[in-house]
Amino acid sequence: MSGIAVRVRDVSKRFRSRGETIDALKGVSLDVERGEIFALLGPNGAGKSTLLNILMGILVPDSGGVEVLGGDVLAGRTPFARIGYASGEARFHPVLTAADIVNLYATAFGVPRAERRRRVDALIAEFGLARCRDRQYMLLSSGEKMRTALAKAFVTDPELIVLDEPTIGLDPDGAISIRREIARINREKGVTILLTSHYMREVEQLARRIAFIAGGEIVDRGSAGEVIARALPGRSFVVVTRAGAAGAAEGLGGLGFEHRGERHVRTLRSDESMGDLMRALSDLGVRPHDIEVGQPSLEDYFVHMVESSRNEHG
Amino acid sequence: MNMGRLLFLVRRDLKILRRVKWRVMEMLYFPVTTVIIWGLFARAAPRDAVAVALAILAVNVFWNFAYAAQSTTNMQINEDLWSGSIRQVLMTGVTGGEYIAARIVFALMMSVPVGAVLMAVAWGFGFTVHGMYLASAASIAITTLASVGLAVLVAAAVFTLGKEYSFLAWTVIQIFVMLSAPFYAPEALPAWMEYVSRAMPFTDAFAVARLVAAGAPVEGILLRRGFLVAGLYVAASMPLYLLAFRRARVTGMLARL
Repeated sequence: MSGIAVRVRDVSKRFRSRGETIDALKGVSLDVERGEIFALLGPNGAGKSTLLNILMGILVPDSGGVEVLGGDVLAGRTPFARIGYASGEARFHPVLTAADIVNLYATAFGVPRAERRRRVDALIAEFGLARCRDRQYMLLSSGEKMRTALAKAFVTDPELIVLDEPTIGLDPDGAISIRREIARINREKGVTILLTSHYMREVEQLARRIAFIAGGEIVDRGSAGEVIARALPGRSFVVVTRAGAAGAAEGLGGLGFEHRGERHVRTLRSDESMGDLMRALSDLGVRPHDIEVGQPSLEDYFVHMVESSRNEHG
Repeated sequence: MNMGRLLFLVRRDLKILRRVKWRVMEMLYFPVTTVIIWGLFARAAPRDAVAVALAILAVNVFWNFAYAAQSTTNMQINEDLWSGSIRQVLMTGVTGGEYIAARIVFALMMSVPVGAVLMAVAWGFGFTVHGMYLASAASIAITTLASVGLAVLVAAAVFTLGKEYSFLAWTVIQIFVMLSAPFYAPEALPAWMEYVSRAMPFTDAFAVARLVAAGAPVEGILLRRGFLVAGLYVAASMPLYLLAFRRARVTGMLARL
């Protein structure tokens, strides 16, 4: 399958509230290709939700153009029946059962009655909801709620699925199982997936390409390998200090380390020697509890990008 | 107007009602107990005050029917806001018009039987329309139109101001009824209040209810004016609501609800 599933061109959105102006999106452009899993990364408040809301027709941008599956969203031609949406924070009416939800949303998209029954049963089975199909939404576990949201998103056999934080609040077991479902859906059905997540491992596992959004702008894009190599060339060098090692963070900051609690991370460039860095640590009086050297991960990249954007935007 | 999406919303509301059956009690409880209170008053009233008591009873039937129609429309919207499910609903492509139309259809499906129960209870206490079926039906139609207009105005306010204003669903009717001269003719009010009362959507419907309860003739002007004012409420509220809905998409209110 080829072509563009989502085309965003120069989209800007400004919010005004009580005399305050917030530029939520500043000329954002991106393309999501058909059949790929594309992840939108960025810190809270970066503009991810604003962009998703625009794609789903909940919000109108101030300027720019948005096309989803060939339909001009701003002209009111969003092909809703060909788009599935599931969010880890999705909420349905608490008294409706899992089967009610899937069934009712099938009605909304005009699935004929006979087909509806067959499709609801198939989706309930496919997403492992058989045991809780008649349980009210408020009584479902977080994992079951997410599976219900996914089953609902698939009720029209969509070509594009928008997944907003699909594993938020799930235990590791539940998150792994949802990730497996997402990968299977993309592999077996060729569905395009636009994903947002704060779990970098998830993004690394699933996404073919990512875009990093900060301060309302897309500041980087490419495959996980490409963006990491571009932002953090070399190996990652992690110094682990003991809790309460006062002053260590300040000294390490001077050597270009970024801090994550007791873990202080920086990239070891190819022209740097580890011995020199160890000597510099010793001169600072930093006594590492542990040292880890390896390839930078997407999480290292994320933290680096967040810190860079924070420094840039103050 | 996509009938499939409208049907989806109505079916969803009915399903929720089936899952929470006590909500039927909630719809009936206050209206029925209020009519019983005034029914007992009519029964206990001295012979020369019975006509007045029955007029009060009749107005209460209409008032509570109006409350049921208006508040049910707005409470269905509140349900979506409080449960946080409005985003999911809107992502089906439901338009502002379909959204409010479905709520009105559901509210009428619920409030018409409530109105019938209220009429039956009032009849048990001696209320009768004295054979003035046409005037009674017209008065019910005016009340229904006015309630719809008011409900749509409240919906516009909520989509403009936010869900903190969802309390308007059950409070707004009180002020409109108060200004609609429920138990007396508008002429009995101070001059400025009389003008306000003439602009209220229930004034003429209540006047007709009082006349019907007393078996007095109903002038056609009352009905015509009633339809005109209630119709103006609907005609004014719809564009306001659609504008509020469209603006909520622009300002981000819809995403925050």
